[in-house]
Amino acid sequence: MSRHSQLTVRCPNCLSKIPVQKNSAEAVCGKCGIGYRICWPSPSQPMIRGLLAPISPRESE
Amino acid sequence: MPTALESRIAYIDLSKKKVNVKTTPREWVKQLLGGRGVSALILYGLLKSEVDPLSPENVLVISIGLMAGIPLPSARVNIGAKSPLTGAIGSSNCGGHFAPEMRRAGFDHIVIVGRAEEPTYLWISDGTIEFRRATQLWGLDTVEAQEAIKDELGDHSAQSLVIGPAGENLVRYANVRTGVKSSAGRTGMGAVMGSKNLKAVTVRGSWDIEFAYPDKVLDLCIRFNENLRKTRFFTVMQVYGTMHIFSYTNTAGIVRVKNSQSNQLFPSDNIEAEAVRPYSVGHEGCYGCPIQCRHRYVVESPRYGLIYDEGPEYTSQGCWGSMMAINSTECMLVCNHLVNRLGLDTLETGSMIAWAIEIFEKGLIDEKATDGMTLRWGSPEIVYELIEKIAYRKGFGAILAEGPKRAIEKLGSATAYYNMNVKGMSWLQTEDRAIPSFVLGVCVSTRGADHLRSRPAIDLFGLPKEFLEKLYGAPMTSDYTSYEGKERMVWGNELEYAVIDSLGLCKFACSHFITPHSIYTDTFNSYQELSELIYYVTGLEVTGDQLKTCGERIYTLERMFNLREGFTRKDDYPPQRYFDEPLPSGLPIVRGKRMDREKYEKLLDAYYTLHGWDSNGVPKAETLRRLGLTEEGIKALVGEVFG
Repeated sequence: MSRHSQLTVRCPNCLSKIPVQKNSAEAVCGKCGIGYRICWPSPSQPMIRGLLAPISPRESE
Repeated sequence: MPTALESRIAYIDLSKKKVNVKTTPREWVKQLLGGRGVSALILYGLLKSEVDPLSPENVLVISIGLMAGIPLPSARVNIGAKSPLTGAIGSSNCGGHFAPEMRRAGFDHIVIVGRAEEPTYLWISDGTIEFRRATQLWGLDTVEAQEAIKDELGDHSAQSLVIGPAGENLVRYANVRTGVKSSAGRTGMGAVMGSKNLKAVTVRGSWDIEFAYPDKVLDLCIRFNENLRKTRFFTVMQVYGTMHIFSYTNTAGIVRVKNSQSNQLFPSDNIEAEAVRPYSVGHEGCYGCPIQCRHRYVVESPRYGLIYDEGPEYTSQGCWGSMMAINSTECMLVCNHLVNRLGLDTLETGSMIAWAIEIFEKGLIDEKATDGMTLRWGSPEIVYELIEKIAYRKGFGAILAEGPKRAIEKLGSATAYYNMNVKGMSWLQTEDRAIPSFVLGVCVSTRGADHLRSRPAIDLFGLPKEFLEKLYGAPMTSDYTSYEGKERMVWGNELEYAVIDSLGLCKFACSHFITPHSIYTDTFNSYQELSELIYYVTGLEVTGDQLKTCGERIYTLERMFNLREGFTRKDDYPPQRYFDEPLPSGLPIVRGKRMDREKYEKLLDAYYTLHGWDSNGVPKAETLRRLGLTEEGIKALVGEVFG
């Protein structure tokens, strides 16, 4: 069992911990309000996979 | 029976076909450990300044880490020489299975000078060294060559360091490779081997490796591995390898896109870590490693047919995906395969191609320079073509094969602004101008723009200030866009990474007891754990503080090498673009950021002070005395072996 048993990801914008519901595909930072897509390398490990919605100009193919 | 303390050095003159074997002085181990540290000493001691890196006078040092062969990820072998890419110290290490085999074959350090009359490989087995003809291997790619050597020797457990066509053709960023995937990628050590007509160094040993306290070594290694397995890092590395980093960094806006014109690529689904899983047929790893971090993959390409390879790493993901603005799994896997087989540094190759596309796009070069090619973003075919042209030095590829400094001279000074390099080596695939600690680390790296000499990834973790202060021993902010205290973060990591490299351990797998991941330990003192390990393996008592001083000594020695070659403070700055252009994309914390010159100057000053260097980055006399690096001190150390 991981020492980090709470399911969280780190917000890349404000660096707050964001709690993630088990198997959830998204999470929103409670501090800065940015929403993220979530993927699961393992059942106990959420990981940020991208943004839920665009928030700035980006480079397209 | 080989031990880490009773090891041997082979001095090999390829021109004269002569070998001289000596014992490694105990003092070298105490002061420089092994691997990268010993390599720096030999290069500083034996090379005269201004030697042409591609001449027979250059010295090539193959040096394994002090911990090679223990049951931990301890397989790093360091390749050192004066770099033909930068003119600074060349130093690059790789994993695989070579290093433990070299120790079992009876040598810890191999020093190679001269140039063989014809293509040659060295066969090193159980204390003997043989020069063997390699004309039949010349032209083979890096995997074909290894297989042909094994067939010739009738020994499929033999391990080789080899070069591919890029090294033979003296591409200034050709790498040295072992196995299917492991690369000593940076600083052009493959070109140095090519210049010496040296296709490969092959080792095989049947000797046991003796430890001072074998039971304790085993206990400690089990404990380390258990700790490693408890980390989140372990799980994600097992599933995705280093590619897992990309989702986070692309989301934040800290990846290099279209050379360095942007910092996020969307859509990016086809270059994300999970995109490789359908192509994966299993995982592979280096000696002693429980992680097994790289994919073994198969991909079918219309141009190249069915391909088998391993990887890719985060670096290749960025170079062949986001940097080229190509959202294609196949392209990423094929490019990874091409650079692996041809023996090219993935990062330098990707960066040079990205630069070429940008300066073409801006009208600074045209089809006359590019052999009629219309360079543009997003085209896998153009990238494949350019990789091949570079490796074989064909047409425009011959210019790109020269690396940043010489290619700028050929294509005009107006192109220089767009070439993202430090000391003549290209910036990595990340876009760091919002993160001062990363920028400082890359700029002061002794081998040119590089993250593996210090990168404080911990800066992105948002850890409490109190925690960081405990770890680094001084106050610093947990805001990764701030400059406050970041000199100490970089300095601290430099010393630890120098120690880890010289012990031959893997930085990633050491994550539970070494910065940036020593947060997983309870002691906050990774040196203490390493000194315990050294004692059980060698019987040598080195305190944590002494170990830290070894890190200082190694880093300062490398700095001295560069100073002697004419590098100064002016070579410790990021490209002008980092000061001029704000980041166009990314999360609010990143968007609009650029480096502040005044703050960077102060950061650099503070960093030099921590090292005991003056404001020009030159080590002060008292620093040299403290580290035993006065001219007399170095002469005495080198003289023990080389007279």
